[in-house]
Amino acid sequence: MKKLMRKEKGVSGKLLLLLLVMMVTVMFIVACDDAETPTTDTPGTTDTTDVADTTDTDEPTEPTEPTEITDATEVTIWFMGASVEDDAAVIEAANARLAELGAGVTINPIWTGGWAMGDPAQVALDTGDNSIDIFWTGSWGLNFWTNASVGNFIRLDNPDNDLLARYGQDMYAAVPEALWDAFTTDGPLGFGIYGIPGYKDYAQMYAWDVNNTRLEELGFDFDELFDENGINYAVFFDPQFEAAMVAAKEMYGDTFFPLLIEPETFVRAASNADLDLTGLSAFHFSFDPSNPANPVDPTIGLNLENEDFLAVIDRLHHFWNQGFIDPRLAIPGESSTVLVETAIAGEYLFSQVVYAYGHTAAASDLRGIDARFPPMSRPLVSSVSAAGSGFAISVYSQNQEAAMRFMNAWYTDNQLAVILSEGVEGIHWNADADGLIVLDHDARAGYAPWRFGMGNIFVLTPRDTDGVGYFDRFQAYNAAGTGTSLLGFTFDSEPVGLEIASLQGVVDQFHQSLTVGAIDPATAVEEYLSALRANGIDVVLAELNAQLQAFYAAR
Amino acid sequence: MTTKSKFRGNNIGRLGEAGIHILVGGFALLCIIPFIFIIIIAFSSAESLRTVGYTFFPTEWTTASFRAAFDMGDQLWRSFFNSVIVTVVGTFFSVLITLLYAYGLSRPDYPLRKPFAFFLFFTMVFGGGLVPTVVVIRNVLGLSNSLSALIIPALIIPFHVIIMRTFLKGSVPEALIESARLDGAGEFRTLFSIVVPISKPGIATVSLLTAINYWNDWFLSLLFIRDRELFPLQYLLMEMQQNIEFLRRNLALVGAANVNFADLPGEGLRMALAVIIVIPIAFAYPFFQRYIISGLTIGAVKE
Repeated sequence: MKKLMRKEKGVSGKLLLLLLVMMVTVMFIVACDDAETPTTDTPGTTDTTDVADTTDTDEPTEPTEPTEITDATEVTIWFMGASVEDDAAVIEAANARLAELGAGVTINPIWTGGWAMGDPAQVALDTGDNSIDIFWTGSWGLNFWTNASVGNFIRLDNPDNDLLARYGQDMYAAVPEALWDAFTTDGPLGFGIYGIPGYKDYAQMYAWDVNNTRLEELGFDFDELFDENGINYAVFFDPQFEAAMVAAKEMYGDTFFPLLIEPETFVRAASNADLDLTGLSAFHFSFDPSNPANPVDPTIGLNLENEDFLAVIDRLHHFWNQGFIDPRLAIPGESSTVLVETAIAGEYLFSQVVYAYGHTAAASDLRGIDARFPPMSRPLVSSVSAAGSGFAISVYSQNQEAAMRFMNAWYTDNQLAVILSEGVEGIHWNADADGLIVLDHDARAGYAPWRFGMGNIFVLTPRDTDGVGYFDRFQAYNAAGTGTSLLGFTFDSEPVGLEIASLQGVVDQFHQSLTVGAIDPATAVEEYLSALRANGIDVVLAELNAQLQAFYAAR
Repeated sequence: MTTKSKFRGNNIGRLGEAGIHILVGGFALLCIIPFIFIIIIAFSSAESLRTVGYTFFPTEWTTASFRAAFDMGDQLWRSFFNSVIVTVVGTFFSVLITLLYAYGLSRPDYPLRKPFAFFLFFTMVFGGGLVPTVVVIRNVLGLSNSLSALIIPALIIPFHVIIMRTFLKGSVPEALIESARLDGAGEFRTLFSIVVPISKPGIATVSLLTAINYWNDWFLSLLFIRDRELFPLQYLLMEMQQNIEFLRRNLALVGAANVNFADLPGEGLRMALAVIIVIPIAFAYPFFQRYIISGLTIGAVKE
């Protein structure tokens, strides 16, 4: 019996060993197979474009005329922020246009995830999915800098295979240099261009959001309080500003909260600070609101030690005590819902917005009120706004050259861009007498990409709601944007990762309550500051300033 | 002196029994209240949600959220259909494979039961990790963007095999199987004609657990599905929720001008969808209920 058991044990041991050997062999084969994937287009499928023109020098490669393309390569592109149910007609029209252009490409879009496409797209990148060629990327969502730095995106100006010079010259010329700079970063293949910038509203502006319908109803004159062409951040401290809110409480009752603000963002805007690139919302980099390129202090400090910041939260606490601010804004997770839904309902007097061009008409139309957006600052261009939207080619793509050809055609051809952004003429839209696009909203319900996330919006035809000359006015707005002195600076948090993780808990405990005015700054600031110091805020601040000074020196 | 219960045949007094009932009843309430709350929110008007937030007593009741859900068009029904297909097909094959595996492990005369038991247990303790798992399923098995990608990876759940094996060992007499064999029945005939009919509680329990697992899953869709036509209900709701949260967090960066907030589903619609998602699987419970308790407890005590 024992002999039989021993024999059985021996058999099972051998089986296990065999199984393990098989598993290791399979893994080895898979690994070898995967290692070959990040190459150029799949042989035999499409392009006969010359790929042998490479050089070892850093000099940009002379563009080579694409040779005859015998067949079309399908390029898969994953878009951000879309709500698309039916794209059949659009893709058919887009592919027909690509054929007319001789791009040698057909397009296969992925709309999955909508605004939250970053999660599934990141999984696809992290698991080496070679079925997707181009990803939407930016300073939020599928983070450009993170993915570029770990080698998930190809370098477009790689001296060994300069795809940008060979296939993207027209596209390069169509997009401002400053935006290319925002997509230039350090990656495994050196410092270079790892993404294609989306060309949209790269200048953003802190602005008030005033419900002028209610303001007039209360007997106040907009022009006395605000200067629509001026810089209005000081209005927050104007006695008339408070008087209007007192009147609003009297007229509309206790459940009306006249000051609708986004915690953190408002304080940053009203105290003229650039975005905290650590994500902690604990640092303050002040700029002159009339000239964002001019820093008040060339070093970054703590917002809890900044006089402007402290003055704003003092004032906010005063307004909180008077019942001007909805208490639900102090609840993390609920504040954003309250903010958006209250704004849509027009149930506010004063709010704030990070202004995007053309927002005034859209907001007034949506809310059914006269919404005004007097600026708090000049339009500013930061790393975050400049890299707000773009595209990158996956290192796992087997169709990298075809992907570049598609991007070049899409960024420069009006017909192709209109088809992909607005849909097909006669189905999704019609042209009016001025040649402007009049959308068929019923048809568009099934095809609604995020217009500003669709590459180069300036190659599009304006809509009737935009008016003639819309893109010229838009360009002028962008041109008025001033780069903050942090433009191009990105923070590498790795050296202080532990401190940041530890500090996040402290920030979560205090920050929202403080920046919505819910807690008394007289006691809370000291307590908050002590907790931050105990968790290493000074270490992060020193690292942040060291990296900033290095950036200044390199610039 | 403690009054003993005359009816229960146990040593707990009436007071103690009342206390236990209150405790258990309270726990049951804690479980059911969130669901009731979701139903109330689904029937609350947008105005009520905006002004007074979540409450058991909204200022205005409405069916608008459900009407909006049913007005979502084909996507809702397509997703519903996908969820049903994945759950029905997945549960059938999963239970079949689980039964076959568990039956083998439950037979003392099966020589490879120990290595296979170890193989099963090993996967419970050591996983391959997310990335290798995705790579194997997508690149090696070629499962991507199809309903099979939602079914096949979840076909075998080791815990379910262990439940079934324990059940079979505890409730199927060895003599019965011997008799079947003496009567000339082969392994498959013994399993499907003799063992299965007397294993209904175990099969029902595993079926319910498997069905819930398939019905509730959204993670496999996140990993493998890109075509909206293949979205199951759970992932549709998940995507909707993620969309709104993400957008609101990053509103300043997106540029509010570019987003039509009127198109975003409100709280009521999301809660209505949650109710629509929960109802079908909730209806499955009564059909399995009488089997479940015996299925989970038979075999728990070794003799």
